[in-house]
Amino acid sequence: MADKIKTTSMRNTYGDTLVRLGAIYKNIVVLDADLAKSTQTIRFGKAYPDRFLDMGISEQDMMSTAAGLAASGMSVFVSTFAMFGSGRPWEQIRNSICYPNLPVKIVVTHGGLSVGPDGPTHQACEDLAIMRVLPNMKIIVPADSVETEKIIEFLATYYESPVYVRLARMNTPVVFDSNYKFEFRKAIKIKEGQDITIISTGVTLFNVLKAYEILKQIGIFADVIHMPVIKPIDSEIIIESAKKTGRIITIEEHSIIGGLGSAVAEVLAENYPVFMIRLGVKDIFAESGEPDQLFEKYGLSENHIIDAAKNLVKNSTKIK
Amino acid sequence: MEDIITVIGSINLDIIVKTERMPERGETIAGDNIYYLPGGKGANQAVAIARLGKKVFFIGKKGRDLIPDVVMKNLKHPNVNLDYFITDESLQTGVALINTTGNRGNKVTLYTGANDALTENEVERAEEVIKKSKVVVVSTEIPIKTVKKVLEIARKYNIKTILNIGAAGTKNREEIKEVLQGLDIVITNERECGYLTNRVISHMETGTLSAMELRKSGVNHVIITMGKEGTLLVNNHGATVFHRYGVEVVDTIGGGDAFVGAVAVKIAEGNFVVDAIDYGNAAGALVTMKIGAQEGLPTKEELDKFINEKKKDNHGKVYKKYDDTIKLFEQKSNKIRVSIIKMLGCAGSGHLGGSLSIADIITVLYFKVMRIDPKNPNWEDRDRLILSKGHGAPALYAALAEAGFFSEEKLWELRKLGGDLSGHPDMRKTPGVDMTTGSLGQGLSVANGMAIAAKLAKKDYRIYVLLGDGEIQEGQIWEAAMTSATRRLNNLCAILDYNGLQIDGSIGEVKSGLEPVVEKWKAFNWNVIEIDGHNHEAILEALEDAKKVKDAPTIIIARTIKGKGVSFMERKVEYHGVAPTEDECQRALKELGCAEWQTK
Repeated sequence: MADKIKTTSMRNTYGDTLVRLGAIYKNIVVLDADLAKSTQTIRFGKAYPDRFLDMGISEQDMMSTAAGLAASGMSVFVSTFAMFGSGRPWEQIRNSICYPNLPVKIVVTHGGLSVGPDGPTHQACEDLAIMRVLPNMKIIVPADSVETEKIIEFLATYYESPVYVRLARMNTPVVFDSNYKFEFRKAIKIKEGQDITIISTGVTLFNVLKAYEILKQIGIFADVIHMPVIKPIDSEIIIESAKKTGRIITIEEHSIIGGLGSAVAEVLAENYPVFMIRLGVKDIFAESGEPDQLFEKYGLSENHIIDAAKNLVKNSTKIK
Repeated sequence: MEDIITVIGSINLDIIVKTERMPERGETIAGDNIYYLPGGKGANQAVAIARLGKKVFFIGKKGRDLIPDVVMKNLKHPNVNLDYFITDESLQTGVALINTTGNRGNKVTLYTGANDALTENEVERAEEVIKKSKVVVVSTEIPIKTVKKVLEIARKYNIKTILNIGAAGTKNREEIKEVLQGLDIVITNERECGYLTNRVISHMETGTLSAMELRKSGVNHVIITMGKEGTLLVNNHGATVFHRYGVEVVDTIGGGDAFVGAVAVKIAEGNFVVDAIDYGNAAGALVTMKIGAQEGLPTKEELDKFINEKKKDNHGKVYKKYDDTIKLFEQKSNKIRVSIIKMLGCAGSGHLGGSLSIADIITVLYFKVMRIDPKNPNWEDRDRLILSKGHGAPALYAALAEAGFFSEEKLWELRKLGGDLSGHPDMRKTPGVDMTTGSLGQGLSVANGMAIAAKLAKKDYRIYVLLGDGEIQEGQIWEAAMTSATRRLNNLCAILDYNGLQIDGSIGEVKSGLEPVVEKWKAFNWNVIEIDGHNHEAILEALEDAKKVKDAPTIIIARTIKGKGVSFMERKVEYHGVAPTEDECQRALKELGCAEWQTK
């Protein structure tokens, strides 16, 4: 990672955006489970102590409490690490939030492999799968802090359903500029190409962009799609691109089972089957390490994307 | 020949200080008076028997008196024979240091003194008296070897024996258990019995388990006096609960001994144990109305008069303050029970026991306490109820229909495809349901969320949450309990349906670590109110009292009976999660005073 790229923290942006929105919307209430200094909800807590509830280390209680607040008309944001905001209180999310369709905004940080040195106990690589299966639940995974800000703004007045937003721990390169517009039901076409489609979600977009440039130099032109919203998934853009390129790679810092790769595969299998490679964590537990080391070892670096693209182009005949 | 009862046991000087509440460890609490009064189990029981008109031989031992002319005061009664009573001036008379709080119970620290010196030989000398007794009463505040000797002699002559176990904690548990073999009646309280069987007992169901364990040691009848909850009898007919007599409690000291004495009198007269217990309960109640163990002991005439008056009052449950309201509650709760039976009969599945147990609580909430508008179920300022034990849905639905949230006909759609009444409450389907529940353990957290929202919005509506006792085995309940206390949610009131049974058995069998329940909630900094969960007046008062609390959430521990209202379903685990058969429906409805009914 030689490039000196400007990186920013999604978490700081999240905290600051909450503070800004808190002044406008007096019904915003923020909950955290003793990780406010990490998730940066502490910023909201300092600005609006009455509307900030540190629930202590009790995530199940936190989720159900959020349900009660949402049922009473509050705009509720709940934060902790992805590991503790998905698996541990999953049944509370299912029965107290999703089933009664209460608009709780679960914004987790420290998602995926990029948690790094804390190791597998803290690397949530299954959360998207277990959230995706819940009726009423919506899932958003932003790529950078610009996108994060727009999503949080959108969610402040969103009351239609529960939402799961997954942020990364590490500072991330800024991909989008201030013209970025968030649309719930639309994925974003980043690059136009006709040889292969690369679909990513979250912070892996930056690696995809690096791979895109190298692939272009060897004559492979990729259609690059960023998919911040995994559920409801933008089927149209997937089918349209598949029809054009006939080859699809998905990449996510999540298990290859149940996340973005599975969601795209489901759309293709039922609508327009094409050759496909899912990049992600391959049904194993990873280990401690720096994010870029882990991305390299567990198959998420630009090199893996380039290899996958070359193989797919070489070994698959385009289905027209 | 006149009936004689022999009592062998302790005699003490009771030094009593009455305080508002018990001091905690390391805490000093001031009382406003000190009392030096006669006490000791044996002496109390002897006086009780004498006043109830029976000749009694009291065998015990005292020494030098710390305060003169106190301990023997009431034993100077024409019915008391002290021929075998011993005074040994080389010893000191036993002393009990007592902290009493009125209806919050008492704590006793005992210096056994001369009581510990009552030998086997000294009781053997009384063999002739024991031989001609109708009943022998012995308690464990004297050496266990001596107790054993007394029981040996009594058995030799086939005399009925009553053992009253006290101060078990300072004796060898196994030694006490050894003397149980062949006993007719063992009487003890929940704390002592718990110690003997290595359990914490705070519910009849766990008391039953302990009593059954004691019975295995060879006792015929085990009686556990459980304070407010009443008295438990376990014998070869199973377990029976006797309600206490409701009185204004000044001091609980001596209640147990008055009970023992009165039971002994009835047994001596040849009565059944069940009748003896009722008599005992009445005597126990009377003595708690005065400070001291012996001061309030009634004469036979006083006790008979008290019982007759109370019988008229339906055990003191006469409603003084809210006559019309209580009548309404009785009618509504009966209607709810009838609806529950009919609904489950129609549905063919559902949870009977836990719906019937909450019918009275739900009644008082929906027909008096809660601020609701059935025409506007989503009214922002309404009080909310979260049925955290969602399987009690039939009771909630029946109340909602009766209150007018929807028509009665809807009730027969319970659990049916396309119907509005889901197996567990669904806030999106059923008008009046404030939260979707069914997965246990989550309702208290949700209630916290609603209570916090109310405070943020500066609204004065209240949040009620109904918990099951099995449900509080869920860890999330205690996470939530901390949250309620942390946030000082005095606009939240939880009610625990403490019926003692869960699917796999009684709470004592399944997870006895649940007890003691009251102390747990207190330790979590909640305001705790204990009531009989079927007494409408008590429910109403508790819910109203909870409104007055500042800075703390309130939990009402409602002691209830699973299956309440239908005799053959009461306290039966088997009726937790089954629908009644056609025949059971008809029998149940008949008991509830409902005419013939055709299931659809």
